[in-house]
Amino acid sequence: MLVDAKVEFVIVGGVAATLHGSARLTSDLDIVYGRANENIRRMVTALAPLHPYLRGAPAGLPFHLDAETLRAGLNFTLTTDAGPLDLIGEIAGGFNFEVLRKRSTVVELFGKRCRVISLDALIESKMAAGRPKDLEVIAELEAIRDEQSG
Amino acid sequence: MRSASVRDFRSRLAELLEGSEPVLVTRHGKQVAIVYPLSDPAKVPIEVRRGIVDSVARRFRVSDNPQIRSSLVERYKRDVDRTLIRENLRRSPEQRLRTLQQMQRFASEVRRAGRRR
Repeated sequence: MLVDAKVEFVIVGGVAATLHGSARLTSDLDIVYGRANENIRRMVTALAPLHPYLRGAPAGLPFHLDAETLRAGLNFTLTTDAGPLDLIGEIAGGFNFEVLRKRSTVVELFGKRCRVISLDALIESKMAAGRPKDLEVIAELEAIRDEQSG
Repeated sequence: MRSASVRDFRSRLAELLEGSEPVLVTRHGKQVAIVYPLSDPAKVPIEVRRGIVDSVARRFRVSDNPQIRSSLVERYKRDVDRTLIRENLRRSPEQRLRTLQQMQRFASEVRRAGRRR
């Protein structure tokens, strides 16, 4: 949907780890999106049919994901008809879309070409986040890198 | 799960720590702690075990120290199941994603079944 709407984004987080070969279970899709006005407008239009809503917020809040809301914030944790979705302006390590454009690879998923954060950048970002819970994730990602390099 | 007030818990400590069933501790009717006896550590939910490691690590700021951090990563690497990784690396990224989706469906079925009990 986002690809068809020509939204500029990079898959990061657990799904990116899966795409690189991780065996860990993750439940949400994290994407870093381009902050250009046109991109935000495209993303809002593409997501509208999925009824995005703030995850964990009580039902009935007057929340509407529009371009103005996205421009006013940076990171949004959403629930959608297609599952949980995190829209992230920048992840730890200073990885915004512009940086990730150069530190990502293109993979084909269900006939669409998507950008995914590179394995090295994903490890760097997890390291930069400095969260103890990520250490186990980093260990697996490094093991994947070892296996890939034989 | 067994339940005990702080006073009960104190006076029946030895008895409550028998067996492997957790004890919910309350103070003035409010839940304040869950105590897991370690007679069978495998019965402590993995999320709780991860939480313990995480909170201890935070307390001692282990992830702030690059040396400790990399030795922990090295230690965790020993426990990584490389057979799963090798299996995944033989698949295409799309197949890996399909496998994740199957796991998510399975996990959600298990959660639903747990709620129905």
